[in-house]
Amino acid sequence: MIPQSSRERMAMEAAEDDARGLLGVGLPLAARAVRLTAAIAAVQASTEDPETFDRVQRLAADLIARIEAVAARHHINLGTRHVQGLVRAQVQRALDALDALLDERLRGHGALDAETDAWVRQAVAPLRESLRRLDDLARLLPEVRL
Amino acid sequence: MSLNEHQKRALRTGLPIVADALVTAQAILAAAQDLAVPEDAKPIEAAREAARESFRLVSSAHEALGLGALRRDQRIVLLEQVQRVRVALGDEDEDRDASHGDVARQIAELRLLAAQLEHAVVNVRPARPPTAVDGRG
Repeated sequence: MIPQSSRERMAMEAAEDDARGLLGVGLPLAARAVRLTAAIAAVQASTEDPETFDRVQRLAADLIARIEAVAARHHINLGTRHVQGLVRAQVQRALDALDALLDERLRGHGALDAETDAWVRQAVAPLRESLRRLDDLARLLPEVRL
Repeated sequence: MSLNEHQKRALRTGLPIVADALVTAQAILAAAQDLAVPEDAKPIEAAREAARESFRLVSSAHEALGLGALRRDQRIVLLEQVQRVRVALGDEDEDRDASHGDVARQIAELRLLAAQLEHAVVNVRPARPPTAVDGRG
């Protein structure tokens, strides 16, 4: 569309500036989320319907290639994060979900008697211990950036 | 020892959230393994095995509590990431004025690819029960 007036031209330029701003902030976030989508699909494809996960992986690869091309064109550094922080965030999320389940959600539907409470906690104790071990191992992860 | 139906439902919906976080952790570690130099492989594999073990223990806890096999919708972890992509690429209603600009066209193209990805994720077939993601892939 050819701008009809200087006011329209200025509005378009401002909108383009906004769009560039969105790219600068959004592309690095989008890139990481798409890479993670592909990685999750790969993990889940190992045990489940590989065909549909293949399609997800293919589309994720197309999108990441396009994001990289746009980033290169606009000199945007996509940036990366140390996997240690990414893994520990998921471990924390798992622990928080477990705590919320035992301390709030279960009790929100009626008090547990002492015996049941102990039984439930015993059932998840190995999981909690394993999550702590995973967190310890995550602290030792080498500097790999995703 | 008894749980009422509400409490059982809370466990059936709460434990898959723990499992989902562990699937995402496994995916991050799998991607890290692909990117790492060979001498860094060992600590990553150790963490990956711990993530797999934790996942198995979610399933074990689910069964130990008399809830049967753990069922999780594996699209949820994928959709969570796809939603992040959508948010990162912005809302198309907010920048209609720029729809003819070069940058806006590129953003629109990225959004289209993101929408196709989302469509593919939504159409992932539900997992067969029980699920046991072991991270080999």
